[in-house]
Amino acid sequence: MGACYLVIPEMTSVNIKFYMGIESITGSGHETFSFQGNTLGELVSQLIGRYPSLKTCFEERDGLEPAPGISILVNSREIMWLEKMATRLSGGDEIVFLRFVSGG
Amino acid sequence: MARNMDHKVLSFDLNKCTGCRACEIRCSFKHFRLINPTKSRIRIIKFEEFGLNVPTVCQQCTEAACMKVCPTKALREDLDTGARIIDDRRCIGCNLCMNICPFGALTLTSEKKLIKCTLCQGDPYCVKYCETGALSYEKVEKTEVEKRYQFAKKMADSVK
Amino acid sequence: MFGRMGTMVYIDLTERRVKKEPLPNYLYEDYLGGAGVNARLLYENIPPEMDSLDPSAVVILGVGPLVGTIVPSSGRIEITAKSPVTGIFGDSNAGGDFGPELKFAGYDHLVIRGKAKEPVYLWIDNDQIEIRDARPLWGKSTWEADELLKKIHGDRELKTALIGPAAENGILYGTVIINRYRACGKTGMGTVFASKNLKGIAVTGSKDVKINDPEASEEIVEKMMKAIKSHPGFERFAAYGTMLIQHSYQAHGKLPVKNRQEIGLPEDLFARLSTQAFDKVKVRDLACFNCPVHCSSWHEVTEGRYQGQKGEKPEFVAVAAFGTNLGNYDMNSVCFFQNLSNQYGIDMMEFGNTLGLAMEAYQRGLLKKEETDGIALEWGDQDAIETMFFKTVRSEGSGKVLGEGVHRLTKRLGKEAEGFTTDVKGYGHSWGDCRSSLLWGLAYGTASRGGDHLKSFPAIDESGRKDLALQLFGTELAANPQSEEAKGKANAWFENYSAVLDSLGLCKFAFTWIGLMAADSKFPDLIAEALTAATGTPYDGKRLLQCGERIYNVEKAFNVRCGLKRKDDYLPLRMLDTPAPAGPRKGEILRPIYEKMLNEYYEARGWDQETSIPTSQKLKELGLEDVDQDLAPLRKPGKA
Repeated sequence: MGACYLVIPEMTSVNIKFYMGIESITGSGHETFSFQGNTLGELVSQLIGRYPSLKTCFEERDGLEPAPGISILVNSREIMWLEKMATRLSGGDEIVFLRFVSGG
Repeated sequence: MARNMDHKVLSFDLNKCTGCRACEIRCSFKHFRLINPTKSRIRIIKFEEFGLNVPTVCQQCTEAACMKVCPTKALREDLDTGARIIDDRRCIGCNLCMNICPFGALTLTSEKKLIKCTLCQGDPYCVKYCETGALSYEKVEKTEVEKRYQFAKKMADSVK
Repeated sequence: MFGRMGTMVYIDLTERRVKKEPLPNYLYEDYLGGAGVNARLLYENIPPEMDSLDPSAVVILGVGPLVGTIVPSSGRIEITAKSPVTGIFGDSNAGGDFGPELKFAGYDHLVIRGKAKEPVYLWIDNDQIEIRDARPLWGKSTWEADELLKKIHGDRELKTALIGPAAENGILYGTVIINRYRACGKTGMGTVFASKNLKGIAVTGSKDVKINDPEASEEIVEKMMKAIKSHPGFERFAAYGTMLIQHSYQAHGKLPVKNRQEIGLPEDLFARLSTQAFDKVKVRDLACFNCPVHCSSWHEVTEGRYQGQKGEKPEFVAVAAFGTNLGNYDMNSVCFFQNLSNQYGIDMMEFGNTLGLAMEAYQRGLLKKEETDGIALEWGDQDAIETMFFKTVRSEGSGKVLGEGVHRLTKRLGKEAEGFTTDVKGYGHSWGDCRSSLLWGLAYGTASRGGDHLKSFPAIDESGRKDLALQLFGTELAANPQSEEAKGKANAWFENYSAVLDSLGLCKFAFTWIGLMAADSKFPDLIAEALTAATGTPYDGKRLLQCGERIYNVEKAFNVRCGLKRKDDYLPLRMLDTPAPAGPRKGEILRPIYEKMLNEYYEARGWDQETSIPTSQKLKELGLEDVDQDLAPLRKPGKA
């Protein structure tokens, strides 16, 4: 192999939680997950790589988007009020996958 | 008398009945165009002390005591569905059928009209509006299939 | 009469007199039924100076025109009285089968006044209404009394509304329990029953609820069911009911921990109160009358300290009241306390808020062991929680203090406790941390019955329904829990909408939480169509919401006459002035935003900014000239 310009991809480590039945899709309730990149979209595509059934919570529109009824929170804020799937993530962020349930 | 195996029957699953009584409401609504559970041919008996609800309704018995006891032959079989139905023109209101039914499935309304389940000519409204599928209307030989499956699944789950 | 039964009953327990009267037109046309008619009757029958427990004070039961119809989730019974906890407007409703049965017996409203010499109960069997001896029932739990009544009357199908020993023993926030497991929980309606020596009501009926246009009714109900079931979360709601809410709270940074000193739990602790923990005790789904949502369920605890507990639910309210707010992370104990609360007849939320306040006072050294009968009020100590619960429902020792609720305990503890109380208008506020979700916070602040989430139930918040927010309130931001935008307008709208549901007898879970959030802004029109089909009186969504507005203004006027002002619409100091310890607005202070939201709310309501009193113009617009005259002397000179 000749000269190799290896770009070490940026890794981000976040805390992930799955609620309201999504945990039964992934088989995991909460975990720390490291992924390459720094956006929610990148996180989700790598999560789907690990948990293929998680794809049922998403659909293709302009890229991958949450399916109807699925809510994703980054540090307790719904991504629809942030940058949606382009929301930037930092190490230690908390990402929750759940369903829209308002209440009390 | 033998049961015609082509006829469907009403069957129920106690674990699925939520006690919402939509069946009672819809039964009285369908047949009287008003709401009054005492005018429903199906009744939910609620055992609130242990959280169980039991639907009670005419079983359309093969050896139907109500038919046998009727002095005017006002009760007859609907050949399409197998339902035992009351012919109002013949009924003299003696209530013997009500008295002899072991299930309390024939009822007198407050207007002294005798009512019982007719299977809605083969399209029972109670089943249509049963949210959880606790009530079903199926061929006799199919009635317990789902229950057997659920039971078997529980067993399978416990060892898988 | 269609939809309604057309009869209201006046019952005087002192005179032992029962009088039936036709339901007056103006009442049902302008106030719909249920909560609305109750509110108007309360306003007319209780002068501002009358004490809530005065024998001549009325307590009113009401069922709406859609109760007992084919409209889904339509079985609610509303009980209204001046609250012995707050001294202001009080009401509370519950599902179950009692409301419809009262209608099948032939009645829309019962107005009960006076005080019986000995304990009594009302026995209603269609046209026959009797005041019966309840001495054998007094002191019995609601479950025992329900069973006894079925035996006494030889009728397994009668439906009961009963108080438990807690109210009899003098606790202020006693409940009226509907058939064992449903509670008219808020504002001490059970205590008002107890003050009249009224154990409760048993009813059986066989009359028709007539529908003006059955065909139209059927069509509309199909549309409603379709909307309700189209919610993508419908199956989860059906399986778990309010057990989903702790997850939403935990995720959104709203879950109250240790009297709201903290927000949210580490996952290992949270897991003990999650839907998975609930799966271990859940046996089967159960429902209220005619409800496709079946949010209730049967539970059986099969292990540990609370092994053998059986009953319906529990609710999220119990998870917070006996769980997170007291630092007790155990679903089995939540089941235990939910059952006890139903048996003894006590508002879980007010108890959880009061004991939470006491525990924090203990933690801060404001309460000493000498004042708690030697009990160390340590967070999560199940022995201590149990002991205090039993002391409270029996009004023994320090339990007597807890039985008076958050407001009186705060006063006893003194100035420092004002910094960590949950008191809004004399009642502990609901569970969500207001600093994390602004619209719910405003709702707690303005609720006419004090600190409550169900008076408004603004579920647009956290629903993700930008489109609905835009349709209803002109901006998508109304649905953003962290934006102050349009929150006053939204809160007023939801208060009106909720007043409509409470007046028709519809459940907010089916019609707001699920139905409205799955449908478009025309959903109120659909409800109006159902009312028109049932009663024959033409309604549209606009007229319906105006009825809701009228009802809410009457409740407000009741409180204005009790002396309430703008200052009473504020949240307690911890919510307003202490930075959020966690959650989406961590470190931020709510007060400046709250002021803006409250101003916008008064603007939307047509209420005076300074006094909060409804303006003359608004009251006249709603046809409330008499109320306007009543309030005139209370307005500052020159203000209208």
